[in-house]
Amino acid sequence: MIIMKLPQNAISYNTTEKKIKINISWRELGRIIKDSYKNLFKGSLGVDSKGNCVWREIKPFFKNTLILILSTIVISILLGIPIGAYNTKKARTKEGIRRTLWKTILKSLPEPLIILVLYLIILKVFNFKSIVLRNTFKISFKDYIVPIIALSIFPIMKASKITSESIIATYDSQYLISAKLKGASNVKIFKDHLIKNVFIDSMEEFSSLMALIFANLVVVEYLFYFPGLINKLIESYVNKDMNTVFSIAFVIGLIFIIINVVFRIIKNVIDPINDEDVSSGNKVII
Amino acid sequence: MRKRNWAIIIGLIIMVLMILVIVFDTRIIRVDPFSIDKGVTYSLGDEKLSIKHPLPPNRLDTFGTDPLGRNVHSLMVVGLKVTITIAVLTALFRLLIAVPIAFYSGIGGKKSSSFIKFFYTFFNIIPEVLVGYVIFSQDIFTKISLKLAILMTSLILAIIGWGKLAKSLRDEVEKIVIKEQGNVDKKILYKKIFPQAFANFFTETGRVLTTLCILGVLGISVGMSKFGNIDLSNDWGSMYNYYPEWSGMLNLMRKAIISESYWLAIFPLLGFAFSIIGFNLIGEGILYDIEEDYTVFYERMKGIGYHLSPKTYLNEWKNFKYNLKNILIKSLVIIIIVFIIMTPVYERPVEKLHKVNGDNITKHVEELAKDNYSGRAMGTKEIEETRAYIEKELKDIGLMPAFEEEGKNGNKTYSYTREYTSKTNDGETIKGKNIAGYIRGRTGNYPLIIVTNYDYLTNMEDGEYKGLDESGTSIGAALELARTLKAQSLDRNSNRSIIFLFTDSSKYDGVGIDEVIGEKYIDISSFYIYFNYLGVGKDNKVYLNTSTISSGNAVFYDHVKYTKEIIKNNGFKVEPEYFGDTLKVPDALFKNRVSGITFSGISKDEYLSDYHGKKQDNINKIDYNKLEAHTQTLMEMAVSYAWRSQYAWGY
Repeated sequence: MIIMKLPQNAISYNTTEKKIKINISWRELGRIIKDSYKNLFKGSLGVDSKGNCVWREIKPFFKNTLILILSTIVISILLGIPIGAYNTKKARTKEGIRRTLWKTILKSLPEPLIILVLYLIILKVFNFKSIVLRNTFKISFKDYIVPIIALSIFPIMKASKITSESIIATYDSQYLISAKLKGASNVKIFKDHLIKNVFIDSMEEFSSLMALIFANLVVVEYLFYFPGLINKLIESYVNKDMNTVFSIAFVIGLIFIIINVVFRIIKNVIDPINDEDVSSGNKVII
Repeated sequence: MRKRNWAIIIGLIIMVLMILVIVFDTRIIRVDPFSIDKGVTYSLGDEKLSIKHPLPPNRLDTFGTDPLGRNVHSLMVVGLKVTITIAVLTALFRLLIAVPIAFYSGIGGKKSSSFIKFFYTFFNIIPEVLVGYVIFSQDIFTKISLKLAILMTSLILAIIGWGKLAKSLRDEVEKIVIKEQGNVDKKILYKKIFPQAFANFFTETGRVLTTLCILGVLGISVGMSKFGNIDLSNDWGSMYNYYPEWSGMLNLMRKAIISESYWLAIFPLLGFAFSIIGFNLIGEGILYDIEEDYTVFYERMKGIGYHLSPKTYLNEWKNFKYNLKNILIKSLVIIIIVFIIMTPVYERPVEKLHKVNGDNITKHVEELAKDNYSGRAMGTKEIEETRAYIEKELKDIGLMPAFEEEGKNGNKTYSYTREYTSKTNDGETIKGKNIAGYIRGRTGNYPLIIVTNYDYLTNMEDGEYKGLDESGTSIGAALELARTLKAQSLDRNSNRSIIFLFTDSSKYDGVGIDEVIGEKYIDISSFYIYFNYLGVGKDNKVYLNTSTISSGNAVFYDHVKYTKEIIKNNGFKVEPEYFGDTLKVPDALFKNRVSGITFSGISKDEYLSDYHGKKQDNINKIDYNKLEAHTQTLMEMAVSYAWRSQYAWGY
C-alpha cells in the first residue's frame, strides 16, 4: 500500500546509464506513511483528490461488492457442501491417477478463460446482446447474476473439496467408529457428528475460501465492468487518486477480516474442541 | 510392475511441445511478431474497401491480428519464451526463499513460523494480483529493458507469493517431524522434502502462470512500452505491450469482449491454460507418486537417468533384437537433434563475398566533415555541394541513373537527381532533390532499396551543424556499399535490382519519399534497408526496427530472420527497436506501405537524449572500426536479400 502512495518519480530508470535510481529519502517515506494513515482516519476514510469524502464516493461500490461477496459465500456453501458430500463416495476410494489427471486439468484452467467461456455460453443460450456493464454504478438484480455465477465457480469447487475431505477424515475417526459400534443409527451419526464436524472444518478452511473469492473478484469485477470496489480501486489508481486507492484497499482488508471473524465466532460457538487445549497439544473431545 | 503415471507422461509431452516451440520459435512463424500494420483503404470506383485491424482469423493470419495489425500467431509463438521464463524464474526464486524458511519453521523455528504466517495471511487478505497490479503499473516498468523486466517481475512475484508455498512445505515438514516423534535426522528430512519441493516447483510455475494471466487481463505487460504512443484513433486506446509475451496480449481482453474480437483473448488464454496444465500435471503426478512412498520418486528419477544414459543406449545395441523399440526411438531423437544442430540457419548466397573498405568510408566522412558541406540543411548551398559529391561518386562507381526524363523530341534522358516541390504537413512549401542510382538485377521483382537521408538540421544557432553522426557516416557507408555491391554484381549478377536512394527532407516528414514512390524500382513491392547513426553508440548493439513488415508483406520475413543472423555473426547484438516518427524517412516509407528494415547504431532513447538537435561536428567521436563493421554487416544483408535464388524465395 505504501507503493501506491509513492510519487511517480520515487523510483526511476535511467535509460542511457541503464540504472535504477531511488529518489526518495527514508524521512520522506515516513511522512507519506504518516499522512496516509492520518487521512484514512480523518472523518469517513478521509478525502479524495477532488476534496470529496471518500466513504461517500465509494459507498455504492461497497454495497455492490458486498452483495457479490456474500452471495458467492452463500452459494458456495449451499452448493459446495452437498456436492462435496455427494462426491465423498468416489473420493473415499483411493484416488486413481486418472482422477488426479482430470482434477488437475480442471483446476488448471485460468479464471479468465472460464469467465470468457461462461460469458459466451450465456450470450448464446439466453440470446443476450451483452452482459458487461459500463458507466453506471446503479445496477439491477439481473446485473448481479452473471458476475455471481462467474465468481462462484471456483469457491464451489473448493467448498466441495473441503467437505469431501472433511467427511472422509470424520468417517475414519475413532469416535465415529465407537458411535457405530455402540449401535448409533446412521441418521443420528449424520445429525450429531458428521454434519457438525463438516461444518466446523469448512469454517476452519474458510479463510482460504475467502482468499479465493477475493482473488477472483478482481477478474470478475474488471472484466464485467462491475461497479464494485475493485473496479473503483483500479479507476482511482489510473486517475492517481491515491487517497481513494488507499482507503479502498483498507476497506477490502476490513471486509476480509470481518467476514473471517464472523465465521471464526460461529466456528467457536459450534466447535466442541477448546482452542487452548489444541494449542497445548491435548485434544479434548467433549 | 508399477502403473504408468499418465499425469507425468501427458505433462512431459506438453512440456516437450513447449520446448520445441521455444527452440524453433522464429522458424515456425511466417510474420514478424514486431510488425505492425495500420490498415488500408482501397477505392473501387465509388466504393471504398478498407482493411481495419484487428482482423479475425483468416488465411494469412491464422489466429487473427490485434488492433496494431500484429499477427496473433507470431506473438503467441515468440511470446511463449518470455512468459515461461518469468514463470520458471519466479518458481525458482520462491523455492529458494520458501524451502529454508519452511524447513526451520517445521522443526520448531518460531520466528520463521511468524514470518510465513505474516506473508501468507497478508496476501490472503489483499490478493496477490492486486498487489502485483499496483507494483507493476509503476512507470518504471514501462521503461526498463526486457531482460531487466523479466528479472524484476520474477523477483517481485516471488516475494509477494512465496508464503503459500512455504506454508505447504512447512506443513509437510511438521507431518514428518510428528510422525518421527521429533527424532528426525536432517539429512533424511531433506531427502523426504526434496521430492515435495521438486513437485512444488512445477505446481508453483503453474500458479505463477495463472497470476501472470490475471495480471495481463488487468493491463500489465512485461518490458518497455514502445508502441504506447501510437494513436489507434478508435476504441482500442493505446497498446502498451511491445515485446511479444502472453500477459501483454491479454491487456486487450476487456475491450475484446465488448468489441466481440474474442480471438484476441481466446488464443492467449488457451496458451496459458495449456502450459498451466502441463506444469500442474507434472507436479501433481510427482505428488501422486510421493503419496504412495517418497522412494518412488527417486526410483523414477533413477529410471529416467538410466534410460537417458549413453551407456544404456550402447548396451541396448548389443542386444539389438530385444531392444529394437528403444533403439529406434532413441536413434530417431539423436538424428533429429543432430539435424537441428547441423542445419545452418543462414547460408551465404554467394561463393565469394566482397569486403567493404574502411579507408574509403573514412575518406567520405572526412570529406563531408569539411566546411563546404556543413549542415546540409535543405535549400542551402552546402546541401547542393553534398548532392554533387554523391552524384559524382555514383557515376564513378558505375551505377545507372534511376530517374528517367522525356525530352521535347521524345528522347529519353537519364539522371541521378530528381527535383521536387512539396507541401509539408504544416503547409510549408519546400523544394528538395532525391538522388538515386541502381544496379540492375536478373528480375525486376521485389527490388532492394538502400536508403539514407543526406540532409541534416534546418537551423542551429551557432552554425556548427555538420550532422556527421546522422547522415555523414551513413552517406559514407552507402557510397561504399554501392562500390562493393557493384563489384559483387560484376562477379555474378544479383537476382534482384538494387537502388541506392539518397533523400532529403528528413526534417520535413520525409516528403521526399512521397515524391519518389512510383519511380523505377521504388514501390510497395520493394524492400528497403534504411540506416543512420553508424559507427556511434555506447554499446555493441544494433537497433533494428522491423515493424513495417506486416502479414500482407510476410514474404520479407525470411530476410529479417537472416538479417538477425548476419548481425549476430558480425559480432553485434540485435535489439528490437521502434523508432516510429522519430526517424521521418523510414516512417514515410511505412506510410507509403513499403516494407523494410531500419538499422541504427543507437536506440531511440539515446537518439533523443544525446543526438537529436545536438552538435555533430566531432569527427574523432566516430568509431571507424565500428563504422566499417556496421557497413560490412549492411553489405551482407544486402547480398543476402539480392542474391538469394529465385528458387529459395519461391517467386
